[in-house]
Amino acid sequence: MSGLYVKTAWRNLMKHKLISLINILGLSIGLTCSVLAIYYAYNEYSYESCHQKADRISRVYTFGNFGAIDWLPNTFPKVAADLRERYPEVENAAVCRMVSGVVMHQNVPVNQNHIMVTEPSVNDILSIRYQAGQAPQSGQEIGLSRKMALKYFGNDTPLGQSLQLSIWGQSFDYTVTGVFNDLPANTHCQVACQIPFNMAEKFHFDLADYDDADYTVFVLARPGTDWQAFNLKLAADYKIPADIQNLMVSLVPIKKIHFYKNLNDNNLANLLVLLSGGIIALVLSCISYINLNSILASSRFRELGIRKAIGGNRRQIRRMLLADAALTAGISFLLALFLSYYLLPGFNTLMSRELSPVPSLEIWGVLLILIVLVSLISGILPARKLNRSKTVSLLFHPKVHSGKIRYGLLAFQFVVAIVLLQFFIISHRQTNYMFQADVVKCNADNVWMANGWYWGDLDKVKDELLKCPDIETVSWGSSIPGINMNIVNNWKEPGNTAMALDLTCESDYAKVFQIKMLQGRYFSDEYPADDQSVVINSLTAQVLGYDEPLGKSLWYRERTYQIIGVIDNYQAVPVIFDKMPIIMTRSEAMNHNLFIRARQGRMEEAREYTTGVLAKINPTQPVELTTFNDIIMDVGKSYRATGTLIDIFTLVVICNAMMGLFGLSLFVSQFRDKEVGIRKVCGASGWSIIRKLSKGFALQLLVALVIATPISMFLGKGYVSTFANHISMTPDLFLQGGALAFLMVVLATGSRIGYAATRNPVEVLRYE
Amino acid sequence: MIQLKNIYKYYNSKFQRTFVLKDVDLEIKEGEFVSIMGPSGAGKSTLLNIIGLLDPPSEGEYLLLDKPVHQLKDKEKTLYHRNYMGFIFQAYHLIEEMNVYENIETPLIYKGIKARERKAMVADLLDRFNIVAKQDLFPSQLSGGQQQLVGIARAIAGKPRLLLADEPTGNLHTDQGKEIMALLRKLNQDGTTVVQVTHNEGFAHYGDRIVRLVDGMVSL
Ligand SMILES: Nc1ncnc2c1ncn2[C@@H]1O[C@H](COP(=O)(O)OP(=O)(O)OP(=O)(O)O)[C@@H](O)[C@H]1O
Ligand SMILES: [Mg+2]
Repeated sequence: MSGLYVKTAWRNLMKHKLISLINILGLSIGLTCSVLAIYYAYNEYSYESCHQKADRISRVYTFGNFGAIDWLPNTFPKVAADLRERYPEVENAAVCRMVSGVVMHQNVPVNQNHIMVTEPSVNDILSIRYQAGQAPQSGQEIGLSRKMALKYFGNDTPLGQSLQLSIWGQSFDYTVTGVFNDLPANTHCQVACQIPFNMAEKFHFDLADYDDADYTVFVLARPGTDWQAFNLKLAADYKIPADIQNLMVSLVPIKKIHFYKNLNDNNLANLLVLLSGGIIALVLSCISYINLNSILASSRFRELGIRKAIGGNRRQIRRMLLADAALTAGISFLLALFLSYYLLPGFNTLMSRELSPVPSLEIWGVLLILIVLVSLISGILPARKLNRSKTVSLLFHPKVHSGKIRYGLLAFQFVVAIVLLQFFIISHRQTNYMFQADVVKCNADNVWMANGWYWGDLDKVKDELLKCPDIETVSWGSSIPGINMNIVNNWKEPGNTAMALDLTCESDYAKVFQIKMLQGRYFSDEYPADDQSVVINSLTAQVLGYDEPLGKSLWYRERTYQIIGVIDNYQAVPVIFDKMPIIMTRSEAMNHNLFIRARQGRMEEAREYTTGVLAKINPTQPVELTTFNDIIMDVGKSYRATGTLIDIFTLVVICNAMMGLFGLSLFVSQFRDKEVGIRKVCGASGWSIIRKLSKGFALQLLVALVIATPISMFLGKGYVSTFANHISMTPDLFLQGGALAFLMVVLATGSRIGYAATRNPVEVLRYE
Repeated sequence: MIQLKNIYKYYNSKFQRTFVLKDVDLEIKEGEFVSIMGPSGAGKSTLLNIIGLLDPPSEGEYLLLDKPVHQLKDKEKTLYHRNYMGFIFQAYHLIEEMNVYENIETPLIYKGIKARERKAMVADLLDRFNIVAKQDLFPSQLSGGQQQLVGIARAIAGKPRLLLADEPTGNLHTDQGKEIMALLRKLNQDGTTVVQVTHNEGFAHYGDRIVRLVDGMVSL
């Protein structure tokens, strides 16, 4: 019986090949989006679940006035012991310190992150399980993750081997005592290796103090502990003897960290965007599908009438319609699984995740529910029609009804597509605008950047580098324009609260980034007195109220500097911030960042040369050169991913809308083939036919445009106002969106309508 | 078997009510072969559809097998369609996505007959109508007469006691028409009650009785 349903469904599918193809493609695109969203959501919600005691583990955060920020995900080392000793709620607590270092691997220095210097008790809290050997206990011992063991020892057994690791310039040979199972990607505590804290003196770690809040403390609470109550108690009676305003610690359950207490990432927003995007994509593709399917079904009304007349009851016929929908849904679903399998690696890169292409049992369950839902929903409209119609009218007047619901759905789809299109244009304009040269007012193209601490006196490095004809300028400084910043308020006068950007830079900083001098001069090696000088930007001059700032003095860091130059208001802070007053002082011969500007088109040559020079100066340090773009990609990766996701969903939605429109135009023209034929025989021109057939679409487009524009205006305004430098909402933005939507409609429906209009009427009428 | 009492059928348009059937009284006994005749637009199809429970009467009483059926629910109508009635249409109305075999089989499936039995019944019908060779063809591959044969085979597959035919020969040659008529008479002789609508005086006489309908009224 069910085999029969499938057979009939299949024949139906084949009878309308093109429409079925559109249906399946559209639906599978929507499903792919939601499959990926489901994978992702599952992964996000399973964060930290690799730790068996995850529900009871928290991490200590420190709150207080730290200047530009008011909380840290870390704390003082002594907090661990305090909590352990003083509070019965705490079953265990462990302090550790996450550092990075350099491993000498076959005489090549390799950067190594996620080194955990720790108390052994951390392994009772986190689920770090040694599969071979044991955790390091004392002295120069180290425990490696499987991945790290594989990286440095390949297939050799790592136990007992030695590994040369330097941390903060202190290099030791460590003996490998054990290998632990890798933690999965979905935990915020990534650990590559463990070193015991009794290396402490060598690194000047002091676990019994309150000076340095860079330590990570994990707390295992006793079962049944109420976090909120405990945090209140801590706030009330746990005082830390450190001289910081409003200082207190608070325990954040590790399961909350991923979404709520994460400085660099946009996890919650991304999840929401993905989920809502997945849902919108799915809903819209279902709408397209329902639309087309209901017309398809209306071409079968007579068949339904026959079936009723020969004794089929509603349930049987409904089941048949459902089988139709289920077949399409099923095929689309398979296609979607296939697609998501192939898209997953790219998706993982975009989202910085390691989702497995083989879904878990729970995910299969959710997917199953999804497919049943989709089939049910898409089978409902035709079935509804069946319920409402009398058998006679199905049998003898099976005409395609105009379908108010269908028009409503189409209009809705139009509105969403237009809003997205308009928003797409706005957001892209905004992005382009922000990075436009005359807005940013500095230029980091052709600039290589490296850490500036490892190469000794940078003056010497500069001399060496400038010998290369491919290198134009070399400089160094404390921050990279538009990327990092150090904000201060100890300027202007004591007690000042206005923020300014503090920069220490070498004489060629402005030259490397091609920042314009407005007045005066920049630091120069020819003036030794420049150590007493500052360069400011025009904003600083404005804040200070100086019309003629040159030669005037500026109180800064408890002393007085002389202003020697005024620099353009370039984008020194990340683009999401307002431009700020800048105070530049001259850098010593070492600083955070080394900048090398290559001549146009000579990036590779400059890189090779620089790498050679730096590696020769310090062979124990890996040379890593990056570009501004690499950094910006990395820094805002998670935020960028949000943008990319929105773009992708826009594309998907528009793709879907176009396919739906194409399908509709196919039907509209097909069902009216006869009418068109007759009209032509009666002398109608091709144009009047096109007008006739596209009138409906044009009207809908217009209505949708009217509804959509205020929505996207509202969204767009909200969006651009989050940026300091933003474009204004001009009508052309919306007109462009409208024009694109119009183009979309023409592209999708034009071919079919044109075909209907130009076709020889005899062809159509012959078959009647 | 069929008793129609004061049956009216009308359609309401904006300002007026159009009567299609006016006060029709009709009785048809089990085993009869009745032909309904009348000019175009007289309401013949409407009457047949009411008899066939495809269309409810606007007013009046309809007893089928001594039970009132003018206000049945869809579900109960389906049971009548399954177990007591077969339809033959002028435009054949075969299901285009199904081949000959499947078209004949479908009512049996709806009736809930088991696969093996079904197979035997369909095979028997194919044999009887001499269309075994065509069983895998689709309706579009058949001539009009052949399609109507399949239509009849499908109509009687469920062994109905009442066979309703609306101009079964309307789209056929006279020769083909005669064949169909002979078939209907044969079925009638085997015990099936037949009601047909026809425009052909000759074909009307295959039946025992002619009901003439003029302007929605039975003219005696
Ligand atoms: N849905 C409807 N709404 C309004 N009037 C209708 C409707 N259906 C049928 N009619 C009218 O009912 C009348 C009878 O129609 P019916 O199909 O029963 O005629 P008929 O006797 O079968 O004619 P023919 O011999 O041409 O088939 C016609 O005048 C028709 O216009
Ligand atoms: Mg008729």
